[in-house]
Amino acid sequence: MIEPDERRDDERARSLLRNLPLPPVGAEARARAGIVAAMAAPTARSPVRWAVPGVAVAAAAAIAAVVSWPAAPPPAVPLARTLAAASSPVVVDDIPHVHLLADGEGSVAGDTRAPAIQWESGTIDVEVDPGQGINLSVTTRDGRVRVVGTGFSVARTPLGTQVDVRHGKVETTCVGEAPVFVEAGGAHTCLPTTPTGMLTRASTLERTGAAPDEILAACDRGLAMADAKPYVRDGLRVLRITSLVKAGRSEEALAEARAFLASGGSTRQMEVLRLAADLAMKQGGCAAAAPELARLAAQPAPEDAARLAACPAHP
Amino acid sequence: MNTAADERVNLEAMRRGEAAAWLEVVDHWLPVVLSWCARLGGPGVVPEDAAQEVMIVAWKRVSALRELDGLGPWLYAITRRTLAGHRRRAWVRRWLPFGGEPASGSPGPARLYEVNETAQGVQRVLERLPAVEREVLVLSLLEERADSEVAAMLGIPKGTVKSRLRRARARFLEEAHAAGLPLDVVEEP
Repeated sequence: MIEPDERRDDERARSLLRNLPLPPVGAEARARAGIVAAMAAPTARSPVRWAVPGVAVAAAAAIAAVVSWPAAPPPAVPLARTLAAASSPVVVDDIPHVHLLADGEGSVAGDTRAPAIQWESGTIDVEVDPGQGINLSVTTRDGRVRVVGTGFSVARTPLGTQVDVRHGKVETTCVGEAPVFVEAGGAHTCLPTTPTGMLTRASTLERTGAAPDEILAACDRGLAMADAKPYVRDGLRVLRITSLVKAGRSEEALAEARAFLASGGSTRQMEVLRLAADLAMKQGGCAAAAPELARLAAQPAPEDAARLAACPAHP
Repeated sequence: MNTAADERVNLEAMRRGEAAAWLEVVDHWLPVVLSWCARLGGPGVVPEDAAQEVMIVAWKRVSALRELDGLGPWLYAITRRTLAGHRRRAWVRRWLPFGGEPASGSPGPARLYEVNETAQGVQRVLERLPAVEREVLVLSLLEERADSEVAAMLGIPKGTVKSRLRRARARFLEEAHAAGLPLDVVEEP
């Protein structure tokens, strides 16, 4: 039986103890990532699990070890081979506990205990037998996938690197981002990490009819990257302008087109000039398009005849 | 975790060294271990480092685990030992010429989780109690575990849990009063 005083003191103490600090934000995720990294390391398993007390048992274990010696894990054998599927996928089944179906291009390095696949293009399907201590990784230019569970595929496409997990769990680390764990049935995409890669992604999205916002996001990400070659930067800017038009943001599109023209020196000036002229005419008639029409009239081309004829008074 | 049958399967899978099985345990127990480390670690102990170490040590020694029912007490025992090591190292760091807390005003990692003055006050009071009383307060009063569960976790009889809790509570309230901490009961919203 708990006395009333005791109950009150319990509550007082509990009330105070509730002030104790909770773990900091993100601590769980960081600790978990550290645990997974330690588990994935080849030396993570301790020999303690095999330790048995007693000389007699140790002797018996020694005999058993000799008898069962062939069952011990085989030594790691270095790997160095190219994977290239010409017409049909290549099956790789001679790495112990690892099964690969490569439909694209890449290479395998590392060793049989820790195969390191560098994947360039296409799709690679990976199956790793569970519980064998295989530390396999697939690296693309966009990220790295490391086995925690068992079966997954990695597809390097113009949109980036797509990881699909069939069963088990994998750790995916996109370049410049924190690792994420993808569970069975889940997928994760590592976006391209270069301006050229982002231009490829944005163009592919446009070709495949993706939503303008998705294309704009790819363009913005590419434009935010340093060291873009001028033609890549211009490509991203033009795609951005056309996507703004598709998104119904014509005024922004015109402003961007005029900024592009003002920056000068691009191989795509004429294309943007015509786009700006059309946008300006639509928004404010011939008067609004006067600057662009004047530039078009200065170097007349057959494809501009209709535009110039529509505004005879301008320039 | 799941059903008893699943647990048996998981235990076997863990013993075979299947990472996926252990990660299920990590998902379930890491938040609990982390809160033990935050509440019982004390000054200078970084909860996430300690919790990480606990789960890695447990993973390496999982073959020693006989039953999944014993997982909680077993993890607590590892947490206890790990925290003792971290506390020793934190204490040593205080006396090393370059091993103390950062001199600047910015909080170091060990201090980042000390959120407010009351929290720090409660922690200081708790630090003045013997470790065995500290842990019985956290497990019984704060985490509201049954006496039988706490007894299993600490490896002591149920009666000892009760007497230790009585002693710990009295001393804790006395110290809290002396430290000027508010002793009014705050109703949970």
